[in-house]
Amino acid sequence: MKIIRGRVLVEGYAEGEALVSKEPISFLGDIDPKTGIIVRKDHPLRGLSIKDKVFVFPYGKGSTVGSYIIYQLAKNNVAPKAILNVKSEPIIIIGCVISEIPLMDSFKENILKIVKNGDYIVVNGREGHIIVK
Amino acid sequence: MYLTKEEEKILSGEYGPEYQKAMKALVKLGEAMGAERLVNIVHAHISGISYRNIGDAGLEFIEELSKVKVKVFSTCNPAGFDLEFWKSLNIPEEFFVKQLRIINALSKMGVKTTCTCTPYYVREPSFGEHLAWGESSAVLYANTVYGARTNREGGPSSLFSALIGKTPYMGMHLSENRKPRVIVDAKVSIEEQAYASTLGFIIGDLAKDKIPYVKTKPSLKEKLDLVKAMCAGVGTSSPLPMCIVENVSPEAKNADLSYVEERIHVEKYDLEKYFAKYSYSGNFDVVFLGCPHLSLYEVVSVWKYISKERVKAKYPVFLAISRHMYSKIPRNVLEEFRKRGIRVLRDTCLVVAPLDKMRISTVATNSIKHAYYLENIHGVKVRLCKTLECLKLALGADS
Repeated sequence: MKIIRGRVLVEGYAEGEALVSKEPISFLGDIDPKTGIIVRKDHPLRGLSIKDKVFVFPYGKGSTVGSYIIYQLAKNNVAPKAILNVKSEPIIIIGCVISEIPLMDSFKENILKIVKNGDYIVVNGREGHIIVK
Repeated sequence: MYLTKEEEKILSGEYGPEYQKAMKALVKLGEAMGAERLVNIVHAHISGISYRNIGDAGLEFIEELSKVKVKVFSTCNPAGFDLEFWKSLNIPEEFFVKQLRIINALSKMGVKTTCTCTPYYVREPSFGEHLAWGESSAVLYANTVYGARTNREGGPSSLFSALIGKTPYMGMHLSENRKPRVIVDAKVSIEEQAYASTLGFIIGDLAKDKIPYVKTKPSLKEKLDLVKAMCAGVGTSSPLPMCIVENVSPEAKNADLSYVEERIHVEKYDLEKYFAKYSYSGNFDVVFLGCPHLSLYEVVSVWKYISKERVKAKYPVFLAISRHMYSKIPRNVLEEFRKRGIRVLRDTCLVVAPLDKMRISTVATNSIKHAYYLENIHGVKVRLCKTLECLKLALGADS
């Protein structure tokens, strides 16, 4: 078990399995808003769903419409339980704000190295840490 | 975050739930990013207005806010079709109705429904001006070419900023965050859009979230159409809101290079890899130019080329442009396009259109941004090629 402190961007508490993308994510183009499945042709996790996962990726990129894709995921009940970034940017932050998805970034350690696919993660977006089980 | 008395009132709901919702979200965004206060903006550009991409959830979100008015000059991004020619494009009735509901909601709020990704052609930003723009390519263009100041606002935050007339004072609004941290040496001649956009994509991929100082040979001075294409590429592959381009950006001359951590070299070979990635060959449903929306100069260049080749287009050609710029195209040029089977589409582009319904599944384009999103959102088979090659393909001049 490992506790890693980070910065809380959108408050909340969540528990779930990690899905780790080593590559940055453009929600528009990379994720299907109806199913939560990663659809980008050359993405290593293509075909996997982010639904109910603790979705970990370095940072957001691409279209500013991405915030609405996050919102649609939430409305369609296929959103991740929480999002953890190395560094978040406004598109991801505002998407999580309006969708009420807990969001954290700027961890004391490199989460892309420590967190593995399938790890059980407790996201304590009130206290400002995650627990990797 | 420090709020004025007036801002506190908005936050407490004194001006109604719509303004309160907008203020709450902006305060959350600002606090998350460490903003000390809000700053007044002069222009909001709202992205995320195509029904194809925001769906019913986005439609309802915008309609719920539409009881109140925006506080500053506001424009919006492209919609799912040309608002006047939609039937001949095979747009289904339901899609049409829902897209119009979005446009009407924005219009009711006082947004100028410009439906373009090139808001800088509608109103040119000034140096140092604060903006709240969505649309990644436009954000990059405003910061890079004009030295105006805007973050990459997500669709909803650009709308919230329009309603409040302010945005959190953070990121690109502060001089200290506008310093280059990577130098990009591009030793490749980028004389046209396909190369410029691909160079941009590579820059974004390699620079990641560090603002690049871009040197090209030859210089991009006075080649703003190429800078525009490059910005669109950068915005597709990265979260970057700005580049500093030598001989172009007002902030290039006195750029403080003391924060530069690395130097990246880009060769012609690097660009060719991307052309190989989007190399579909076969019949094309559409040859598309206009991502970002074309400038008048770009439209006239197409016209000049087709005037030399006296044949009708083999494949349908779509040129995408803003309604604003369309009104400046000379009549004889439009007439010539019509005769040759070249359609000038306003208000839209292929990325935001319902392509499956329009029966479009193979496209040739000169924009890597279009190639990336067409492949991933729409499952379209794409050929990325130079502007001239696109036109040659369309006119069948290569066969």
